[in-house]
Amino acid sequence: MKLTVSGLDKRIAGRAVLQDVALDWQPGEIIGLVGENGAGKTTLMRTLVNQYLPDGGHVAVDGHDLATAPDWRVNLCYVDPSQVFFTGNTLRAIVDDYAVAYPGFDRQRFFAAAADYDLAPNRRFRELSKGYQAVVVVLLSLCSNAPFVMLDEPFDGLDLFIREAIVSLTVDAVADGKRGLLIASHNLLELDGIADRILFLKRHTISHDYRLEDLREKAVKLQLVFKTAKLPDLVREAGRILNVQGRVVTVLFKDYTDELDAKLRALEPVLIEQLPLDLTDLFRSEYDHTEGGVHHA
Amino acid sequence: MDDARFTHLAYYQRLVLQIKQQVTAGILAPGEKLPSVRDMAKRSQLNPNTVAKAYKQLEADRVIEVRPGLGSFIATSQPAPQQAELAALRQRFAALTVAIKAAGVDPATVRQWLDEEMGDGQ
Repeated sequence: MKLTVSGLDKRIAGRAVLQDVALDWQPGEIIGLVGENGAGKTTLMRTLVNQYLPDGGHVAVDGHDLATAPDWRVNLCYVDPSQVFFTGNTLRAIVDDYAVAYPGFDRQRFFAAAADYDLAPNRRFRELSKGYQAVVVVLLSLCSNAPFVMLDEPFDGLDLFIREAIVSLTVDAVADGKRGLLIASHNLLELDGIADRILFLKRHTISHDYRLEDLREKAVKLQLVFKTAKLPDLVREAGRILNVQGRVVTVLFKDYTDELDAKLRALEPVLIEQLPLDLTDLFRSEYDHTEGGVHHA
Repeated sequence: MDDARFTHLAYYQRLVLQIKQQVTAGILAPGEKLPSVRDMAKRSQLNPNTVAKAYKQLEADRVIEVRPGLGSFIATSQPAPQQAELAALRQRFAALTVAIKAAGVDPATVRQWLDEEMGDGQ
């Protein structure tokens, strides 16, 4: 099964929020959707499930356009955490509603998992703490058994215990390869280690599509000092300079090969030392920001 | 997962090293069963595809054996390093030695480091 989005446009109050958004998504895959607050992450999710009607483009599952084949919408699940219609309902009543919408809804799994967090079926959603409300939203989404599940800022403002619980639930849900997740976050670091791919939503569209493990495998951050005052051209050509402190330069090489390593060492640097690479480095280099000028998403 | 020495690596590479380290330290014994990909993913809070990739690498390095239908087990025989792996390690060792010499570290200290690193689990 495959979900394909092409040329998706959405205007709200005359303003373009999404423009020409395209993506491919398969079960078994966790996609991180990263963008600043207001970048359009939630709008994208709402448009994918037709909560907002798109102004252009297509969302299709296995070639069936969801606009003309609404039966196929059951393959997508999005519980909009900022517009929950069920706050006054008990968990049992909420599950009954979702079981109508999603024939594959797994009640047993929902209540078994809910019991792990002492969430009894007669508890009302609005009586729960913020963290447990987040757990319920994630559980509802995953127990829908839809092959494509979207989670909107599932970790936002939650403590470590709840965060770990939600990561475990999501990891468990994709492990058999039958479900794919699209997780929106304004903070790339929250998705580190979890997402297979990261999509950056910027200027109304998906600006980059990265596989983090591949990036991290190839990229190297080095601290270098050369004998000459002028930085060798090789460094400028192959890498991106993150920081200069006197003669000490910190450089990110996105594709650090053995060949490049040999060439660099042939220049006889006084110092060549590998530094820990975090995702913000890869990110910063993408947007021409130097170290110190912190830039999120 | 939080070993500071490995933070520049991809997550699957870190997991490979972590398991290798646990094998050499005797924390994981030959024949011992590893958690399933799903359980390891939950335990390490990692994407299951990342864990699966690490397990594949460990199998290729003959640190673990996959018994179909039963799971993954720590190999019962110590793997003899393969020629290609040996050559690659030798090359990395040579590069490191250059850096050590350039930094002016004396051979006695290097021998001490070597004993410390090789000593665990022997």
